[in-house]
Amino acid sequence: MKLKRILLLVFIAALPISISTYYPQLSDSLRNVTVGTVKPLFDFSHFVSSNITEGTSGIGNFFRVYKENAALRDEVSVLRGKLVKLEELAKENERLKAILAFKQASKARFIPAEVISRDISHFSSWVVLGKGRKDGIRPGMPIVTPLGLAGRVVATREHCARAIILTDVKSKVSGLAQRTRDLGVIEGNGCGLIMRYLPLDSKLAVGDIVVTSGLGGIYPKGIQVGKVDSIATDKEALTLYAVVKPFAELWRLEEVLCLEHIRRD
Amino acid sequence: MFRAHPARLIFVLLIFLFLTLAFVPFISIGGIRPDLFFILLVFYAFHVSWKTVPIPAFLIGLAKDILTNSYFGLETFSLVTASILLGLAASKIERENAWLRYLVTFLFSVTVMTVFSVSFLVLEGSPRLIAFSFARVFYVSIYTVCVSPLVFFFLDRTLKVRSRQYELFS
Repeated sequence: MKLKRILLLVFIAALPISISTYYPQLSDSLRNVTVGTVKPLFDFSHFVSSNITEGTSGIGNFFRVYKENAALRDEVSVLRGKLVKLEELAKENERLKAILAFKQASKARFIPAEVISRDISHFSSWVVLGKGRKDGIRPGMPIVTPLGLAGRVVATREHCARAIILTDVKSKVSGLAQRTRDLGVIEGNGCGLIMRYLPLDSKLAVGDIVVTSGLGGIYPKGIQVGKVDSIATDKEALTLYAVVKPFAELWRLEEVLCLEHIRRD
Repeated sequence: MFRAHPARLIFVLLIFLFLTLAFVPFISIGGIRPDLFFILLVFYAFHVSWKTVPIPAFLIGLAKDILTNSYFGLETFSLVTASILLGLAASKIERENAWLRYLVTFLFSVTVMTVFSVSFLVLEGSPRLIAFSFARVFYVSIYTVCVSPLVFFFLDRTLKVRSRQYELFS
């Protein structure tokens, strides 16, 4: 290969980068339009993969599922009892808040959505949701799983939406250590989560639970994010950082709940 | 070297895209998953044309860029840059040796992801990705090599259209 040809190829390869550098909106629109256009392909691949998963697990684990079903029925009845208690507690809480003149920060409504496609890159984490603007999904909505926070919606089309996952390098969430009440910023690093800017004198320990702080207004306060896996000092030795293990299985999301976060200012 | 019909290549590309979307997430281990496109490009460089390997690399990169959320253009840049090196390497080595094919798959995978990480650092100025990516690059490359025999077998069956051989002394 001649040097001229190599240089020409590198130049052509760098063209998309220059386009996105000078016209970032263009690349974002292109992604949105493409996701909207190829949604049938996403739907089909999702249909095939979910059928295969269901089929194989259904055939292979029929008896285990039968037993699990019975156990789950028992669990549901127990949880129903607990739910009634919790509803009572919530009502009591509301009354107490009113008495103490607490201002309720937010009121949430969930919109369930299926993950119809995942990121094919090794260094970014995002998913395509099977619901969009018509179903009430809007950019900025946090997405959660029953285990904890998963990410947030970044763009929507009529019938689908793109969401960024917490582990993505562009994701930042204001976090709060539940036990010590230390504030920090939870950032994605491509494969895990790091909580930065923790005070040096923090009493944070491995195993502590991290929740959203509610600061910044995107994520409501108190959603579980993960558990502290390890703690270390930053290079400059000015702050601490903690590696946080997310509760939600972020690389295996199948169904999520989009949280309609209504701010009451 | 053999001829591969462009329509077949596009068909294989679409199959790989479908497999990547539908099946690869199910075989991911802790978020680490193999990259079928890396294997396809190595196969292309070894058995179709080492000279034109940047063309499918560009198309795959563009598709990846559109379907991901990372800095637009980085996937294309890293794939094309690494495929130029892959083409140069493929022109110099014994392409029928299976072990060399696996070794090149590993090295190609490492090169693509390293170029991506370094370019990301340059463009975004954030070392966040770099700090944890080396281990990831290694694991993804190992996993890709592990699944490559199966994929190479599939590609051998689907893409191999042998050139006609003529008797010289009939």
